[in-house]
This record gives sequence, structure tokens and C-alpha cells, in this order.
Amino acid sequence: MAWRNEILVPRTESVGASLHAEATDRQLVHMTLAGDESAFECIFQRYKRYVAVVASRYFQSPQEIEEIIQTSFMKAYVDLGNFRGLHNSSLATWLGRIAVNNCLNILRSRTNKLDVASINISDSVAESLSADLTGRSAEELVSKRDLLEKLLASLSAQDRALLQMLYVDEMTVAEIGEVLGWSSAKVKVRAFRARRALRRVLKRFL
Amino acid sequence: MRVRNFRGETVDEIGQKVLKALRVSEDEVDAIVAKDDLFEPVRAGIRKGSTDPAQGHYSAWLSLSVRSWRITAVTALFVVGTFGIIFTVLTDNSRPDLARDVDLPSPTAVSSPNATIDYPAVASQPNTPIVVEKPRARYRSLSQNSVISKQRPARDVEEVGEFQIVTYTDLATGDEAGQIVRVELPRSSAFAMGIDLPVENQMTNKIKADLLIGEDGVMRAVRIVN
Repeated sequence: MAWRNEILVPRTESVGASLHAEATDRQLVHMTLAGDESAFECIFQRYKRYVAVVASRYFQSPQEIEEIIQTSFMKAYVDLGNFRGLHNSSLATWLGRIAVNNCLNILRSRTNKLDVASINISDSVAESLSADLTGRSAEELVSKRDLLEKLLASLSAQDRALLQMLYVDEMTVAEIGEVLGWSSAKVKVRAFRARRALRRVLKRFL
Repeated sequence: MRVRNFRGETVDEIGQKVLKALRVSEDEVDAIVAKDDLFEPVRAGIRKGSTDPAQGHYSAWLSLSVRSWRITAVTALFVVGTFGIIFTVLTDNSRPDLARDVDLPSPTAVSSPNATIDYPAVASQPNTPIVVEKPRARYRSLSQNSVISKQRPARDVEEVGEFQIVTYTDLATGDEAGQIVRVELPRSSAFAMGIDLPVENQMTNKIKADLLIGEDGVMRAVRIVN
């Protein structure tokens, strides 16, 4: 789980949260359930970056990621009594699943509001994009993010997040299954379909 | 999988490149989580919603989405509708085909096949309308309280003919009890039982008839209902 350890390293920590810096996740959960709000703040500080990374696979806007972090932790607080600790899954996995479900719920509510007109790309733009896709590196393509967003607009958010975990984060099938709550077989099948969908999208411009 | 001509990149490799370009960088993530007031909305939400996470289920139940309420409303309507149909069926006492307990009058003349049985109450006034008692409702309390049952007429008036004995029955036991059962018969079956039917060119081939069933379950006589 090297990818998670890198993500979980806290970059900033408030004074209230630092009081419980040495406590384990389980102790923090017990303290929160006992009414200690600063313990929950410590959980927040510890895992906010992990939740942000999970949210960034589904949303690219900083405001949206921020919103996902906050709503996910609010849901986690309300449902903290159901967290079963190490016997079932770690707190990070549990929070990650809450964040994933939160992202999917928001995306589902937006599905009907998708503006089809915004997906259209003119022929001249498509030609230049085709040249860019084949001739430039990923770092150079960052400046064309808006255009690339349009390009992948027809790819479902779930497929995109899955491919990002596979290609960009280089997570294993088992790790993806743990984050999404899927079996390994399901991850493989969905990854195959997502790859096929991505090829279909890109072939229109290549 | 298509291979590009001049750089040798496959579509999958280009897809990976696009996804990497669209990835939110670590610096961007750090900038988002570094905000000092990021926890404040969470704190406010916690204090506003529920102060005790142990009561999370109750709060979650209270915050049911509109979609959940719709499902609940549809389910409630379905349950009410189902109970309504069951209630209506149970209190429906207008079914004429239900069997009724009657005391068979002893026939006075059974000398020959196809002879008309002389039932004092029926045959003495052969073509006059008689009152057919409706079967009692199974649930008296429901029937009394039902609006539907109060709106319906209490009695139906039907015109019935005489009972005619069927040829193969044994009417030696005169004082037996029996039942009258309302049925629909094909006209051909009525002819086969020896009932003399008026020749009419009717659209339907079935006729209503009352069958007189003895205690042994064998039909004793039949009469035609107009």
C-alpha cells in the first residue's frame, strides 16, 4: 500500500488535532463517539488528503474536491457508529468508500444536466488536437486540459476514475477493488470495458 | 488497437497520456487541503445536524432524500390499494352463485321421469317473480360498516321457472336437506337433462339455472332462471 502511505502523509495539522497526533485510528474513533470533537478533527487532518486524492479522480475543480472532502467527512461523522475497525477494514478504506459513493451520487445527479453541445469539437480543433495527442508528452498536454476534458466528456466518470487508478496511480487490481468495494474479477471486467470505451473515444480524433 | 505511423504510439498509450495530463497534480491537492478553514463547514454541519455520532442512524433517517420519500409514498399507496381491494372482495355480498342452505320440500309427485316436482312454495305460482335471498356476508361486522354494502340494494328480483326433476335421480328420500346452486349451463346440457327450453335464437349458448343438490351431492332437480 505504498500509494496510500504517500497520500496519507499529513502536510498541515491544526493545534486541536495535534493533541491526538499519537492516538491510533481506533482510539480516535472511540474518543469521537464519546463526544470529543477534537478527535474527529484529528481524523479529518489525518485523512483529508487521502479523501482529496480519491475525489480528484472524479472531479478536477478545486471547489468540487473541497466540497467532496467536507460532505464525505460529515457523512463519516454521522455514520461513525457503524465503523467496525480493523476487523472489517481500515479507517482510510472506509473513508475512501464514503468519498467514492459521495462522488458517484453527485455525478449521478448531474447526468441529466450534461450539456451535449459543449462536447462538440470543431474539425479544425480536432485536427490540431490529433497532432498534439500524438506529438506531445503528458506534461505538455496539461495546457490543453479544457480541450481534453471535452474529449473525454463522453467517457463515464466511473470508467475514467478506474483508468486513472490503473494507468496514472498504477494501483493493482486488488487495491482498486478495496477502494471501490469490488471483487478483482469485477475490476478486471470493468477495466476492459473502460479501455475499450477510451479507445472508441480517441479513435474519433486519431 | 491501432498503431500510429510515425511515433509508434498505440491508442492505449495515448489514452494514458491524456489521463495523466488531466490528473489533478499533487501540488493542487496540497493547495486544496492546506486551507485553514476546510474543517469549519464540517464542524458547522456536525453541530447543526447531530451532536452525537452514536445517533447517526436517526439523523440519517431524518435526512432521507426526495427520491427515498417518493419510493416510500409509492409503496404506501400500493399497500393501501391492496388492502382496499382485499376489503372490497371480502365485503362483496352480491355474488349470486354462492350456495345457500335450504330445506328441500318433499316432492308430491315423482311418478314418472321428466315429471314436474310439486314444490308448494315455488310451483304453485310458477311464473310469478319470487324473491331470492342473497347469501349472508362472511364478515358481518365489515359488511355492516361498509359504505359499499349500504349503497347496494338489499335484494334482487329474478324470474324463475319450476323445478324439473332429472331423469336418473332417486327421490325416495323425501325429507332430506339440500342446497340450491346457481350455475351457468350450456343449452345443449340442459337439453341433455331433459329440460324443455323455448327455441330462441340467442347470442349466448349458456343459460342460468338453479340446481337442487341433495345431501349425497347428486343433483335432484333443475330450474331455469330468466
